[in-house]
Amino acid sequence: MSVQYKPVIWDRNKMLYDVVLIIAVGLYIYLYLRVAPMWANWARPVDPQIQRMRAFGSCAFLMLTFILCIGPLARLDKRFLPLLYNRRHFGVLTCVVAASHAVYVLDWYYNFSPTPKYEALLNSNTSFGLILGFPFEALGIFAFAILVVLAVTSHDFWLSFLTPPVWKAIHMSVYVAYAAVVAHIALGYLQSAKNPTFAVIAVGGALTVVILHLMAGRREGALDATASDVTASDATDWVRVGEPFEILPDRAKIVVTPDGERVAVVRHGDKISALSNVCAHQNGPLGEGRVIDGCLTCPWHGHQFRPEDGCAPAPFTDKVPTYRVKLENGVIYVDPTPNPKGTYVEPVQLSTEAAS
Amino acid sequence: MSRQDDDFFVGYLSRWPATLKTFLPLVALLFIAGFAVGAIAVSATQDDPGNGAIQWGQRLTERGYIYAEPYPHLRQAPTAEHPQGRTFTMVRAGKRGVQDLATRFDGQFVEVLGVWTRRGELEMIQAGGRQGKPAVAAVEPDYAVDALTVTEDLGRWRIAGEICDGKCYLGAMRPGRGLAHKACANLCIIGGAPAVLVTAEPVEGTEFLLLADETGAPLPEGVYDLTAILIEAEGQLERRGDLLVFKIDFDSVRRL
Ligand code: FES
Repeated sequence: MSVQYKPVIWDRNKMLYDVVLIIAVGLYIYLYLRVAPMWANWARPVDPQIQRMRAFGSCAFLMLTFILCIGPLARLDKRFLPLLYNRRHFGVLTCVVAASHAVYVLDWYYNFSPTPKYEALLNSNTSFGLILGFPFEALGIFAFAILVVLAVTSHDFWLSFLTPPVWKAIHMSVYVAYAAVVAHIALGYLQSAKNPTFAVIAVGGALTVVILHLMAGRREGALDATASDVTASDATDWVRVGEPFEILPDRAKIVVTPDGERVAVVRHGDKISALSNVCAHQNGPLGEGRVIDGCLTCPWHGHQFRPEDGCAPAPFTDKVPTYRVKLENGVIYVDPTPNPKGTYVEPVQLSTEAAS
Repeated sequence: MSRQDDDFFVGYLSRWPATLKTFLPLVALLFIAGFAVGAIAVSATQDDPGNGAIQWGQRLTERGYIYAEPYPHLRQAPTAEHPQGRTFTMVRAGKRGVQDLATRFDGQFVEVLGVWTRRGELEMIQAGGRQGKPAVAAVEPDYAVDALTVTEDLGRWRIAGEICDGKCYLGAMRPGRGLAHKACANLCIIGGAPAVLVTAEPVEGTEFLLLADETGAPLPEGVYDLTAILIEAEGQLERRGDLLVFKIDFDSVRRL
């Protein structure tokens, strides 16, 4: 969370994260190119250039697969949340690995020809009407173009420049890229390889992504369902939250308004306030965070918001909408109409009222 | 505030909650190990691309009769070692054919300089001049053209296989066939490398047929949609020395 945009901001955890990434990728490429070929059963080695295409291509696929698993894993088990923290560096590194794959392909399959490389890329195979024989390279180029856009716009500067909803929408296209990558592999390498190892890994990876998303989706659906029970409140329009002490200290309870908006009802000290559950940074689930130094802290990247007015502490300027809260007969209620971002709302005081 | 003993991770705080102190290193370790195992599994099980290769050290000087159609090739008379004669298909370095020279000297006895490319019995010359000598030059014949084994008509066949570019298949690229290589195969054929059929089953003892259209000319442009996949074609099979030429009826080609 910065007001000044530096090219890359690092802290100790991000560095550790990057070190693990670089070790994994470096080891993958090293073992693929230098060690494992000793055990391969071939009359003469596969061309080193083709080995490199395969090493970087398969590595980029595995990286993208893992990236897409982080989101649902973190929803299913909070202990995976730290993997989200620096996911953008993971994404940028994936883009670099994919670029290396593309360069090796271009400099080998499309090289040495009277047709210039980039022209050859476009017109050497135009069997777009076929499934087998389809220019699967086009799918790879398409996916790579998306990865480049995502990598370039991954910085927080673009997030605030484009606004979080637009940014988030653009970044959802990573799923389109992944689908294109799976098709690129299925119509390309897998059609020429007789040994099924990579096919098993590719199909297994793609299935893991799908299954984890379905599981996380079910869990979210269940959460929404329980929350809507809560909305079946009394004769008022206000949404029933529950008794104050159902909310753990320094935590929040998430309720859903009749409009389907999620609200984080926060217990901070002896007060209760309500904020939008949607983090102003990248739409993270604010209500799953906790109160640190008096601010509700997002579990994704740690952006903070004051429960009373939804404003980030100075010098930061992010804001989220607030909601009015009241305590009636020992039950907390939330007004489902959001206040403009950053509007101060008097918190419910527990020490005096709850005791009564 | 009990930040340390809570399970809540805040990225920019160096301190990790107790529940994550073993969990995160374990995840990191499994992640790295998974990548390592993946690399070895995928790399060590790559298919054998065969023994074809450009024999970079081996410069050839070969003499024989050169023919431009369907694709440039050089034919030599039978010897004890090559009782049916010996044929080299011909290309230039890179994805370029040698059609211009083959057409200029078509049917003449020539000396060809170049680099040897070989896959088993199949041979190709990557023609290139050296030390001021041209790649192809007409020379005084060592024997009359009658000394070549006669072209033999082997009748009409329907054969299944994969259309490849003869250069990569012979080892200019390993592997030099399959769908991943399709664009490259097309570029090679566009550039002048021979279109060949690598047959699904051996035909008259070989799996390598030089392709031509019914008139014996190179295949039309439509071939680019048919490379690198399993197809079946009908046509007249012809033996020229130790090389089989399959003159296909292009309209009979179908994808399998
Ligand atoms: S989404 Fe990034 S801090 Fe909340």
